[in-house]
Amino acid sequence: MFSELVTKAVFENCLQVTIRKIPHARTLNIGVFINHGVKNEENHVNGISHFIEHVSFNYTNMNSYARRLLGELMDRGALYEAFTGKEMTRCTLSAQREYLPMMIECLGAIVMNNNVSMESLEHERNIILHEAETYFSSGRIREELVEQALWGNRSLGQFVIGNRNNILGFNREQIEERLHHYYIPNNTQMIVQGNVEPEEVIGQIDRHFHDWKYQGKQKDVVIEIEPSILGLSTATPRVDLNISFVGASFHSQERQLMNLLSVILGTGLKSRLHVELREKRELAYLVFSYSQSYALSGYLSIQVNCRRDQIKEVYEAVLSVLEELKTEAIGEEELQRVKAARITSLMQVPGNDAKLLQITGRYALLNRDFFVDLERVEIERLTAEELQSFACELFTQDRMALSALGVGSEELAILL
Amino acid sequence: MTSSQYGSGSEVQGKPELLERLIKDRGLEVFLSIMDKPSTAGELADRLGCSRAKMNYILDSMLKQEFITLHSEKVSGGIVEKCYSSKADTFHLLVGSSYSDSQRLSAAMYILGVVKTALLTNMNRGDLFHMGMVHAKVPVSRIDEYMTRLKELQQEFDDENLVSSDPDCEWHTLAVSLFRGPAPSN
Repeated sequence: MFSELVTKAVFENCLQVTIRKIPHARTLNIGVFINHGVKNEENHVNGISHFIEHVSFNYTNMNSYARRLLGELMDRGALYEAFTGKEMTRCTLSAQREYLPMMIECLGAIVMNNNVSMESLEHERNIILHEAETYFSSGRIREELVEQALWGNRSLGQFVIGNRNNILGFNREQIEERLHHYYIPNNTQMIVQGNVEPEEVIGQIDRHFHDWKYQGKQKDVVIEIEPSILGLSTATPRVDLNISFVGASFHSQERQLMNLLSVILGTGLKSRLHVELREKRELAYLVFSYSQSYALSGYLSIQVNCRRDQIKEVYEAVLSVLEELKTEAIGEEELQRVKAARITSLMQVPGNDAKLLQITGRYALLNRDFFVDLERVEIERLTAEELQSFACELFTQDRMALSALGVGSEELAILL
Repeated sequence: MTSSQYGSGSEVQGKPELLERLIKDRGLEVFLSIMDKPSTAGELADRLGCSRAKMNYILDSMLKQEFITLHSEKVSGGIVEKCYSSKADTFHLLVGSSYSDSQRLSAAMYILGVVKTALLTNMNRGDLFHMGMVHAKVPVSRIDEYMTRLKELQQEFDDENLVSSDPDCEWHTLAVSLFRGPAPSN
């Protein structure tokens, strides 16, 4: 029988560690997840979480001790990555099992270093300015537009990259102040995943993170839920149109309902939007939906890549599909199919080390443990009536935001 | 008539292109509603029968142009709710010959809509109102003088607003127009 073995440890300095023992694993994956992201940024410092990720986690900027350790690990095949999101900043290290002590020592040296040199600050500023210039052509921009249309230019609605003026203005004091308040053990979750003995891991962490000191409380996070319209013009004749709805937050009981509605609508060749917009009406090639849940809010978004002159037709077609979902009962066959599809993708997670690490870390930051079978059971329990009832609640004008890459806001506003 | 104002008679000046856009997008209704009382996007959307997304879009545009201002913010359960108020205490919409055809058309359509609705409402309620239209053959040389007098009347009406804090005062609209009318067919 499949089972998942997780050991939790809380250290004296309040650092929380989740050790996921995977007996058959041939690699070891460790992640440090800091509860600091865009949600913690006021407008005038939007982008600072990402800036700090560069300054703190880039190999070039590390102190000689951390640099030596990481350098040696990379020479032995270790993979190192850092990322900033709306709710957290993480750095992860993957290597072969035998390097466990060095990996933990290395991550300790990276995370606990709060000294920022002017040289590294300017170096990263220049790199981030390049990144900012490519940001609007990156895949991430569509999601950023969706979230800004849902939540405005505040908290989760802000772009991860920030804006040029902010990037140009960040100084050492601001960064050190943030490191001091957020890069602390009681604001961090560490995930260790692989064929490890929990006692050994705990011993290594105790040794290398012992000097990391507990600090005071962080500021409360707020969100503004004001769905709006946000379009970005481009020179191309095609448009990525997103029709999004303010939905279930991470801890909400409706989260799994929202996820399943998203599968019904836009996952797979039998999904309703795929059939209606692509196969029947031939309005688009790319049609899909996805859902996202944060601590304070969540959403379901439908994305269609269509011709600029067909936006209205696409918009109306999507609304008609949503209306059908609200008014007509979901059949048993479809219900079982989408549940099975959702469970399949869930069961794929343990086979993907990097994804499992990311999900476990994210869940841990949100004070929940990720277990495939607990999620599966939640999905299996959902009924067609619950889905229809939630669809009626979710797909309303009050919750809807429109965003697009390819047309401006004015052109989108005409749709409403 | 060559001036255009959107907002208070003294402080707020609107850009013509924005004026046109806002008229098309129900911005003036939103503006008048906020002038009446500070409101949240949700309240305005309900009051004016408009989607929340459209309302937030209009409010955001007006906020950026400083036609309206953030009145207050309320935080409940980590969720912020914004309340908007008007930066102006009077409202003028004067669109003259210096504006493009489409801008003038937008303004005309808006004014006609407001006048029609308000007159019918007044009639139903039995309120005091005046409605008149005179179609006459007048020397062209006299038109300038009528224009001046209409503007003076408008200004006089606007000046009344100085005592608007008086509890006996109520909001009234004076809509005046003078234009070349059609010649009788016979």
